[in-house]
Amino acid sequence: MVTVYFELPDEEIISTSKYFNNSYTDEWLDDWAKRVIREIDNSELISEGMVQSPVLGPITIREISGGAKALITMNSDNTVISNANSCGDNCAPLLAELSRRKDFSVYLSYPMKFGDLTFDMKIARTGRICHKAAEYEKEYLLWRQNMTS
Amino acid sequence: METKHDILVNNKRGVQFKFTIYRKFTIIRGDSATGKTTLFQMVSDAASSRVSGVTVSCDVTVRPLNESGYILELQEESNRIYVIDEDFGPLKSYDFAKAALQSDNCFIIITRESLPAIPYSYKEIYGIKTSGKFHSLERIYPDYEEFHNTGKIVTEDEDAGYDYYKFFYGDKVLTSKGNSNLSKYGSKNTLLIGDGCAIGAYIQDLLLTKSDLYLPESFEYTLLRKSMFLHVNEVKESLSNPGKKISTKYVSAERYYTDLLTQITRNTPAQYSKANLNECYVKDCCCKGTRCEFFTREKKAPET
Repeated sequence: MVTVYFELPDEEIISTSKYFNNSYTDEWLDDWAKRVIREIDNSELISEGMVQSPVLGPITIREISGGAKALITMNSDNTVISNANSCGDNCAPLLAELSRRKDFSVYLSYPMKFGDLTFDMKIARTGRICHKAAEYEKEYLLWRQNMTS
Repeated sequence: METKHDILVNNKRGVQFKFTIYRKFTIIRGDSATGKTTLFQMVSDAASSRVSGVTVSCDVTVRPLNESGYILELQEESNRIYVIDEDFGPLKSYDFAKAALQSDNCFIIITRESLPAIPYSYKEIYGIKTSGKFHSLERIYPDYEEFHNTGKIVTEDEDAGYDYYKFFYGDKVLTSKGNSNLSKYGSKNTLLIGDGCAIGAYIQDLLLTKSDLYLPESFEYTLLRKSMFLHVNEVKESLSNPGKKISTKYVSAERYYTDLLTQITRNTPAQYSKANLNECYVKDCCCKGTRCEFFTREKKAPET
């Protein structure tokens, strides 16, 4: 289950790219990472830390997208609240899938579009459990409206 | 500083970004892996003192904005376009908003944060469209400029703006007293009216309410488009080429349109005031289409 924090103190929000670049180990670059890089970046993890990008050519793992770095961090590092604001809507299917098989936490302050996906999500500020986009969006909107009350 | 600029960023490997900005603040978000960070990195490389293999073509300087010393930089520099990456720590801070609003520069901000302290237009929120190595910007939201007369109408405006819609649509018109409250009134069969030029931070909230939206640039913009101003050159020029007219000294286009409307109607019967709705804007004018000698000598200016 993914625990979603709509807001966090600035000092607790990780810089996805810098954190990933300074934290990843070989163990992080597993089958999940290969899949993330393939499905999000349309690229291939070809060897230790090397990626073949259709746009940029051969690049290092440090140059993959912020969304891919965030999804890999969510799977491999339970010591931090991953920054899902680095993830665009195209990351929603993998985030939803990951939420159904492991526990992790994310900071997510925008209404990611989950569409028809199902997921296991706990909203940190209310403790409510959401499995569908409409439930999550309702919680998100209540939080936003509560900010100006 | 004018706010409309064409920008071309490319490198020797054929990666290219080509787009136009139209306002002081441009937001880039959208899907992951579309090239947002690559754009920032290329602009950063081009700004280094050595030959980098990156070329940035624009009529003004385009630079990355880094955290170190940014407030002083924004105070001292002008006529620049700053590109800001999502890792820019102070992005949500009051200090950044204040420095950016006061500065004579334009900003391209890569972020999915809403940034409520910055008045940006929902029309200036873009994703990156990619075709191989070629990248351009693509608006995320369509225009919301069709007025649907629904069961309930809620405007963010108070005073003149509220009175204007109430004059035409009666008691079903409410005010939310600001754009940050507008989504609280949203539901199906409700029309939410906001200032499009400054509602970018709340557009996602409004869409989640499933309401109809009517988001002209601002209330003053709505008045400037009325037939009574059709022949006023300053209005024609402003509406046809806002990027040339709306300089960075205005924190948002709403301020610009307010200034323009106030200026062209000063000491005329149609004198504009935010506080009170002038009847000239809702009642037929006997000499429509001319300038203010125009608005009838018989008509009394409203109390202000």
